[in-house]
Amino acid sequence: MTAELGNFSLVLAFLLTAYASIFSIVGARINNQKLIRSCENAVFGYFALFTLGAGLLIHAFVTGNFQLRYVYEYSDRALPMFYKVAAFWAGQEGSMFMWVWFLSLFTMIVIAQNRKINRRMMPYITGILSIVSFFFASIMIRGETNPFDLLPMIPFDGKGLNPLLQNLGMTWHPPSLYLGYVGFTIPFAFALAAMITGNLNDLWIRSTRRWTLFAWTLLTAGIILGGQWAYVELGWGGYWAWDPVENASFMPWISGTAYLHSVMIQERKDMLKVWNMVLIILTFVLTIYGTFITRSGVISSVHSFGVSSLGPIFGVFLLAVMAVTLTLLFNRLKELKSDNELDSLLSRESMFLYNNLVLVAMLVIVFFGTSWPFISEAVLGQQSVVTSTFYNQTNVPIGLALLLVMAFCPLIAWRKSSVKNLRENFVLPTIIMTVSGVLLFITGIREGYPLTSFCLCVFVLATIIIEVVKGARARYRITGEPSLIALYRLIWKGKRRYGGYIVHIGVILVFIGITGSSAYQVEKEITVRPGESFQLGEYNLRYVKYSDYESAGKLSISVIMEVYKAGRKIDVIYPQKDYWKKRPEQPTTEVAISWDLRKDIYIILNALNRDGSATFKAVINPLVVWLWIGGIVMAIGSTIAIWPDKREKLRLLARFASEVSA
Amino acid sequence: MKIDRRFLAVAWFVILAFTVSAWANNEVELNRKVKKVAHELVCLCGCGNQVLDVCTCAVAAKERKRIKNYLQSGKTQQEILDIFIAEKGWVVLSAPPKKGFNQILWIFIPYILPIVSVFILFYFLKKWKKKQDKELEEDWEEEDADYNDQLEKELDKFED
Repeated sequence: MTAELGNFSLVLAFLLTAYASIFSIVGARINNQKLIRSCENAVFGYFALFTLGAGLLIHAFVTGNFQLRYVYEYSDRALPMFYKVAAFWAGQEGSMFMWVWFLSLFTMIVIAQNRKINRRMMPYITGILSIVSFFFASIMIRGETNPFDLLPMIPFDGKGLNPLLQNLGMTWHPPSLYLGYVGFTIPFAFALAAMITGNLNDLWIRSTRRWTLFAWTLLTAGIILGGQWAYVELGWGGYWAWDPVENASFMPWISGTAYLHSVMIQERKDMLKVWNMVLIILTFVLTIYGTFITRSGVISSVHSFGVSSLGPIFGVFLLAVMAVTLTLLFNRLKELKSDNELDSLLSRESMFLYNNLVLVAMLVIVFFGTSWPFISEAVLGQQSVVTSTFYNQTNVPIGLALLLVMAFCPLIAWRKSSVKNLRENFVLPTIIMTVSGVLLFITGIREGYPLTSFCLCVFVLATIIIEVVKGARARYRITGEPSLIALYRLIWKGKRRYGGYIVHIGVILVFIGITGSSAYQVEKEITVRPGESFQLGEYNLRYVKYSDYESAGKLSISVIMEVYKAGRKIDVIYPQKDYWKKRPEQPTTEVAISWDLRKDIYIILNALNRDGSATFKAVINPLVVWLWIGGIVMAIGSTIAIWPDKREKLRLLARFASEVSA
Repeated sequence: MKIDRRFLAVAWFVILAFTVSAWANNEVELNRKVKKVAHELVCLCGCGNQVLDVCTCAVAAKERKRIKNYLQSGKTQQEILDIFIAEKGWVVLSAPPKKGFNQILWIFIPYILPIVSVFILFYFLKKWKKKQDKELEEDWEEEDADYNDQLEKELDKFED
């Protein structure tokens, strides 16, 4: 019954996406308002049907309806309820489902937001978004990738969820990432609609500013949550392995970041129209490209939880998207050309362009690294693998260049900076940086890259803090408000600007975490008996004893380990290894971490030997916690920047009014 | 000649200490070398191309042990890598070798391209720069005044 109803809802939804795709655009062409509204209603219809289908699938997971192949593949009776729900997106069918559900939800919100505004573009936007939904729906109704596909018999139990996925990360990382991916479809659709209708000014950018930031924030959060998950679950001591799938999420993040900076130039100076179009198209294409390379199985990856025959279909879709968008772009090229004019070479505008250049360089490196296995195979006929060995080496200089641009940007005024102004702005941060650099050098941080990185981080932090303090002071001078209130109002009155600065502070904290943990990691692999201890850096670790216990679906071996520093016990941790009944060949590790703001002591139980001795991999990861703190700060900053602003809304409405009357 | 037995004992102890520490040092040094070689390789255990020096699976541990044995028998890094390549093909390397066509990946993409782009961008920036007869002498005070104006305006709005 579930399968029939589910299939019925999917097919009906599929038909509605087709209807909305075609007739929304036809309606716009023949200017039939009734048809356009009917297509908007169709969106509400397919959203409701997708919701019904998703509800049915979740119900099937919760009640253990193992006749559904998808439920059988990804869950079993023993699975905790929590993961039964999350198993929804454990495989490809569910991931596609989540994607299309988010997309239909967003399409509906966009329609609701634009009932009265952007009316010329809206039918095209509805049409374009529906085409993307149509594409995903068409995949879902195929037998092979249909989430409601039935097995010929009713199995007693399911295969169970891959143990690696049974982690809290599973609940937040995929939805967050997908919200980010799907979110970028909205500005993409607006950009295409702008090109189709010829509304080529910055209105489409302003209309989607918060969508872009929303997508960017969720994508950022998704990436960081994924790193955190890998860090605590995979047990190799790191959080980012430059795995093709990680790169697939990082690439649209880079182009999205470049986009949200460069649109500011268009808003201010009406420049770079073509470039912004290219960036948003690229960002969308890269979100699809990511799915293409992970689902086609052309590149092997730790994320290959469900490889299938979807590669060619995504490949064709990708090519079609590029063909259509590039044709549109070429058609409008003349109109998009703007009188590029700069007041000075030393201006915030030019800094933004350098920022774009650095980001694009990073994107190109990651893109070619990820795609090199194809390229090498095609040109040399030689299979090859590209791992962190390549990326770590090539991305360090680029990362430092990015820091440098971030450091200079707030110091250089919009339009034009005079030398005098520059000198005044640079003095204090430079002094602060130099003093910290000397202090770092004295405390033993002497290697070129880390020292440079830390110094630049200090410089950026100093410039931002100085900038904020200056603003708050000016406010205080005029209003006499208490300083904290002045600071709060300063930020609240300039949400976009100061939200952005807060995001930058978060980015710097992430950089500090990355630099510390990659340059000063201490690692040891050692076998010890119960009661023995070993030295790791300045810490002494004592293996007290082990115990084993059984719980739902697994046998766990847990070790009690005491952490000493200078003879004093500072922590007790419990590294653990789980053996799963359904997959005895794939034991998983539960990493034990003793952390503070300076370092993580990261212990993996590699093996327990017959004589009770245990083999550990013990790692000191300095400053890792700043990565997660930085992530939280970035989220706070971008939330401030996204927060609805009354004045922005009024300005936007005024713009719409003038557009209509013009 | 009579040798003080205490002296002998001390000398023996010192030699022993040196040997032990040299052995320990050798062990540390050897492990460092193993790690270095393993960093150039991937683990082909099927867990998704993890670099051999970080992969946690049993296959990786075995391969690292093999590298250690090779190093102890006096093989150089290149010789060991060649053995692995001969056995498993180029896919065993954690990154393509830095020669021939692969130089595009190693040199052109990450270094030459960005540097050239900086110059291209600079060329465009120069082209876009407004042709101005006289340099506007911008005053620092002006910026402050801007701030104050804006604040004043916002505060007025706030009062309303």
